[in-house]
Amino acid sequence: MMLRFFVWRLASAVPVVAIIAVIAFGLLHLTPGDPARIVLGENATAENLAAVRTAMGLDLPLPVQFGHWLWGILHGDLGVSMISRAPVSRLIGQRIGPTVALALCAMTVTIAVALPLGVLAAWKRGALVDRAVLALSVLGFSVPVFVLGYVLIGTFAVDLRWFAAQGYRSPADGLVPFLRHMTLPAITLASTYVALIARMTRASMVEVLDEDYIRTARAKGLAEPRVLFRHALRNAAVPIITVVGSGFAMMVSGVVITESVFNIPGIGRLVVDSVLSRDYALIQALILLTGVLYVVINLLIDLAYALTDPRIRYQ
Amino acid sequence: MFELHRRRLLALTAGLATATFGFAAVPEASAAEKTLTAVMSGNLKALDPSISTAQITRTHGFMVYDTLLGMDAQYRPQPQMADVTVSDDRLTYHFKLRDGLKWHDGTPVGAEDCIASLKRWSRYDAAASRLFEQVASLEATSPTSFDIKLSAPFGQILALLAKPSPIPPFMMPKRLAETPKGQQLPEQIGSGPFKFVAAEFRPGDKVVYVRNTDYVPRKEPASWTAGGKVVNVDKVVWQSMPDMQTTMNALQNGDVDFVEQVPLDLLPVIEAMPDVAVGKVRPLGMQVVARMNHTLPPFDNLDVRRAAMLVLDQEELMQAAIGDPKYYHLCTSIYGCTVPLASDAGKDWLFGAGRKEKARALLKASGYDGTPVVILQQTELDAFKPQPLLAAQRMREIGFNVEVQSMDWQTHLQRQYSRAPVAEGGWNMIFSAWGITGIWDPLASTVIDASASNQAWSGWPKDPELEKLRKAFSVETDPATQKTIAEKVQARVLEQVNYVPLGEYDILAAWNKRVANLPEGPLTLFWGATKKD
Amino acid sequence: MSSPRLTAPSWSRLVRELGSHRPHWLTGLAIAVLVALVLAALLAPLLSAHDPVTMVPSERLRPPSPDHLLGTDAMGRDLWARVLWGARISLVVGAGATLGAVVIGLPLGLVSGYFRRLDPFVMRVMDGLMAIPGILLAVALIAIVRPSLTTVMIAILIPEIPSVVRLVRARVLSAREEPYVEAARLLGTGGAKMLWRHLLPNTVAPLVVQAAHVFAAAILTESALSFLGVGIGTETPSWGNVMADGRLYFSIKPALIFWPAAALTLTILSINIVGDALRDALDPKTSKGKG
Repeated sequence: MMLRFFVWRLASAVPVVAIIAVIAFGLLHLTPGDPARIVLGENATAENLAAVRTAMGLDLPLPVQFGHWLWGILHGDLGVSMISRAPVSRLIGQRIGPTVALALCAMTVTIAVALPLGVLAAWKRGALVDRAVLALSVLGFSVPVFVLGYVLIGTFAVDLRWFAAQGYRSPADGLVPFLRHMTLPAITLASTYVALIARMTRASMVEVLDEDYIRTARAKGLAEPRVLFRHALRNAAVPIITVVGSGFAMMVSGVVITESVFNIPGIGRLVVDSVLSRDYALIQALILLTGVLYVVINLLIDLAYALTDPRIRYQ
Repeated sequence: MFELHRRRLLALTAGLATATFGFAAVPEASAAEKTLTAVMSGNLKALDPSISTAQITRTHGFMVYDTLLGMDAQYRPQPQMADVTVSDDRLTYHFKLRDGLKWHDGTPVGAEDCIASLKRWSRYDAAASRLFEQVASLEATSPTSFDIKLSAPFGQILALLAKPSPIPPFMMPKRLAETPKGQQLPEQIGSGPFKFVAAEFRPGDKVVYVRNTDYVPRKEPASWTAGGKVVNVDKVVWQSMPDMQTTMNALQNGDVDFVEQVPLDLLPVIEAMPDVAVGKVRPLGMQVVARMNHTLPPFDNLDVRRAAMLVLDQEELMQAAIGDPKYYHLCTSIYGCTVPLASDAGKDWLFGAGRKEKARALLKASGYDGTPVVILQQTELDAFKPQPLLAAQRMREIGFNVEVQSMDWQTHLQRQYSRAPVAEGGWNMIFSAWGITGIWDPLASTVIDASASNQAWSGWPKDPELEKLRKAFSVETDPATQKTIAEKVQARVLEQVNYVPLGEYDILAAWNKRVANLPEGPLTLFWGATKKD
Repeated sequence: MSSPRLTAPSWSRLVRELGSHRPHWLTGLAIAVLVALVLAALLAPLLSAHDPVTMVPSERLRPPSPDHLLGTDAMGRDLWARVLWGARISLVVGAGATLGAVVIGLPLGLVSGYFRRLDPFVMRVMDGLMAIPGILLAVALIAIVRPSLTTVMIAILIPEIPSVVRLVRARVLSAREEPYVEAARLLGTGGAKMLWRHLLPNTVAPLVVQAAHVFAAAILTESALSFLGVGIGTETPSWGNVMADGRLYFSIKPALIFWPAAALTLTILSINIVGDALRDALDPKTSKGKG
C-alpha cells in the first residue's frame, strides 16, 4: 500500500519536473542579456559578440537548442558552463555540500529553538511567557537577513573572535572548524523560520491540548512533559510538518543572502550568479536539481503525513 | 539625534551566546607554503584573455601569459619575451625571442606560436585589426625569431604590442592560438610567471595560481609589465567575496591578504585597522563616461547633445559618487588626467560659469520637442548608481523630459548594445567607466571610435573627420606631431559631443601589512609581492 | 467543557466571537502603530521638507540635523523623507502580495482539500511553482519585464501562493474527518455549501496567521531583491532599496540601515500582533480562558 503510493507519487512527479524544465528554458531565453557578453566583457565589439554567439549555438532556433539540451540530459550529460567551460556537473558538485550543510544546520537550529518555544507558548497560553515567546520569534523574523548577519559577524566574529567572519570548512576538516564557520550562518538563516514554526507549533498544540485524550492522559497522572511532547506534539505534527517542509523549499532565497553575507560557496550564490550572467546551461541544470530535490522533500512530507496522522488515507 | 552605537548593542548579545556556544576561536593551521589570498574587484568566470575586454580576465591574462613587449611606468614599450630591432625605413620589425622560454605544458616557445598568437589577437582587438590592415607579411626567420613587415609605416606598432588594454597581445602555443573564431580557448597554457590550476578553479568562488618554477625573469628591474617578473610566493588565490562588508571583515580578521579595490567611503574604517595598509597599486584610475545615443532622437541633434553636455558637472557628479575630493580628479582630457597626451583642448565645454544658461538657450533653439530621454541605470555597482539620477535631475531643470530606467548589469549591457528605438528596447543615454589604460591615446580608445561600425562602442557616433584624425595619429611617427593630433582629436570629440568625459577617480587597494612590495602597474600584478609568515 | 459541536467553527460564531472580544492593550497599540504608519505613508509629502529623490551631492552622508532629521544618504538625499516615502511602497507591496496570494491560494486550497480528484492536479502545479526557487523566478520575471512596482509585487506573490494552498488544504484535510463535517455530509450537505459553511471557517484562523506572514515575507523579499540589485529602481524609494543603498555604509553610518529596518520591524511586529489578536478572537479555542 505504502509502496504503491510512493511509486505513484514518484511517477506523477516526472511530468512536473519536465514542465519546470520547459518553462525555465523559455523564461531564461526570453530574458535580455546572454552569456557571450560575459565572455567578452563589457566593451566588446558587436562583431566579436556575433562570432561568440554563433560558436555557442545561441543563433539556433530555441526548440533546437532545447532539443540539444534535452538530448544531453537523457544521456546523463548536463553540459558545460557557457562561460567558464567547466562541466556543469562539476560546478554543482563543488557547491552542493556547503548548501546542504547550511540548510541542515539551520533547520536543526530552527527546530531545536522553535518546537520547545511553541510548546511552551501553547502550554502557558495567554500568559506573559506566551506573548514574549511570540514577540521574540517575530522579531527574529522581521529583521532582514543581511542586517542580522552583519550584526552577528560584527559581534561574534570581528569583536569577540569566537567564530569565523566568513568562509566555509567542510565537516571533513574537523568538527570545530566546521562549527566555527557554520554557527553564525545557521543562526542567521534559522531566524527567519523560528517565528513561523514556533507559531505553527503553538497553534497546533493549543488545539490538541483541548482534546479529550490529553485530559485522559493527564487524569492518568502522566508527567506534564510526557503529555506535552509524547501525546500532544505527536498529534499536532501535521501542520508543523507542512510548514517545516515548505520552509525547506523557501530556504533557497534565505540561503542566497546568507551565503552572500557569510561568503559560503554554495548553490544559492551559484543560482544568482548564473542568472545574472545568463549561463543558461548552468541555470537549467540548477532548476532541474532544485525541482527534483523539492519533489523528494514533498514525498517525504506526504509520507510523514500518512505516518503521523493515520486519519489521512490515500487511495 | 540617534546614531546607532554598534558595539554596545553587540556586547549585549555577546553574553547570551557565550552561554550557548562555549568554545573559543582556534587559529587556522598555517600551511608551509606561502599563499597570497586576494579579493579582486570582479569575479573571474570567463578565462580567455585573448577575446575578452573584461578587466578581471585581462588581469588573469597577465598572470598566466606573457607578452612580446611590456610597457614601463613611463609608457614606453620595452622588451619582454622578445627583443625588437627596427629597420631604418620603419617597415620591418625583427623580433628575437629570448632564451629559456617555455609554455606551461613544458614545450619551448617558438616563433610560429607567436605568429599564430598575433593573428588571433588581430581578429579580436579593434586597434590590432587596424595595424594588420598595414601588415604586408608576418614570417618566421628562424625557430625563435620572426619579422613583421609593413606596407606603410605605422607609428603606434610597438605601443600596441606593449599595450595592457583592452585586449593585450598575449602569447600562447600555436595549437591554442588557432582555436576557431568565436570559441574560447580550451586550455589555459601560457608562458607567464604563474600557472593556472584548472583542477582547483571554482568559478564564482576561487581561482588558484601557482608559481611557474620554469619561468626565467628578465634581468632588468620590474616596471609595470616590463622587466623581471620575479615571483616570491608559492601560490596566489583569488577569493570571491560577494559582499563588501564581508570583505572588510575578512581583511580586518586577516582572512585575506589583499583587496584590489575598496569603497572610498570606507577608507576611514580601513585606515583604522591596525594591520592593514591602504595604497594605490594601479596609479591610473577610471574615467567616468556619459554617452548619448547618436542614432536616435533627440540626441541625433548636435545642439541637444551640447545642451545635455553643458548641464553635466564633473565636480558634483564625482562628489555624489566618490565623495572625498582627495580621490577624484577633474579634467578636460579625454585620455585621462595624468597621461602624456593629457591636454585642456576644448575646456569650455566642460568647465566654467554660465554653462547652464547656455544649455537652456541651446535646448530652446534646437527645436527639442519634449521627446522623452531614457537614461539607463544599473543597480549592481554602488559607484554607478548616482550619475544617471543626478544627470536626470539637472536635465529636467532645463526642460528635458527624462525617464531613468533601473536594471541589473546584464540587462544594462544588453540594452546598451541595442540599436533599436527606445520603445523597442533602445536607450538615449548611458553612464560607464573606462580604465585609463583603455583610452590613453586616440588609437587605443574604443570610446571615441566614430566609424559607427560593428567595432565601435555603444552610442555609434558617425564622424568621418574624427576618424581621419585618428588614422593620422596611428601612422604618425613623430611624438610632437602625435601630441598635436591628439589635441585636435580631443577638441573634435568635445565639440561634436562624441561622448562626455566626467573626470577620473582613483582605485585604492588595501592589504595586510604582512604583504609587501606589491608592484605598481596598469592592472593589479602579483609578481614582486612578498609575504611574511 | 467543550464538545466537538462547540469547537466547530461557523461564520456566525466567528462574527459573534469577533464582536464579543475585548482586545488586549498591546493589540490596541499595534493597531495604533499601523494606523500611524498608513497615515505617515499617505501624508509623506506633508511630513518631510525634502523630496526623497532630490540629490544634493555636497550634502552626502550627513549626520542628523534639524534640517535633515535622520541625516542624508550616500547620494545626499534626505533619509527621513526616504523612509517616509518608502513606507508607501513597502506597505503597497506587502498588502498587494498578501491579497494576491490569498485570493489565488485560498480557493485552490479549498478545492484541492475537498475535491480529492482535483487534488493531485492542483498539488502538482503547486509543486512545480515551489520547485523553482522563488528568488530565481522573481529575478527572471523582473529581468523580462522592466522592474516596476507591479512586476516586483507579482514576482513576490507567485512563490507565496503554494504555502497558502498547502496550509488551507491541510486544514481541510483534517477538518473533513471531524465528526461535525461527517455529520453534515451524512445529512446531505453539498460541495459548495459544505465548503462555505464548515470548511472555510475552519481555515480562517490559521490563514490570518499565514497572511500576516506573507505580508511580512513580501516586504522582506522586496528588500532581498534590492540586495541582489534587481528590485524597484531607486527613484522609487522602498524600505528595501533604502537599506540596499545603505548596505555598503553599514560600518560608518548604520543609521542608513537602522531606520528603514526599524520601520520594517515595527510594521511586521504590529501586523503579527494584530493577526494574532484576530486569530484569537476568531478561534477562541486558542485563547485564554478556555480549556
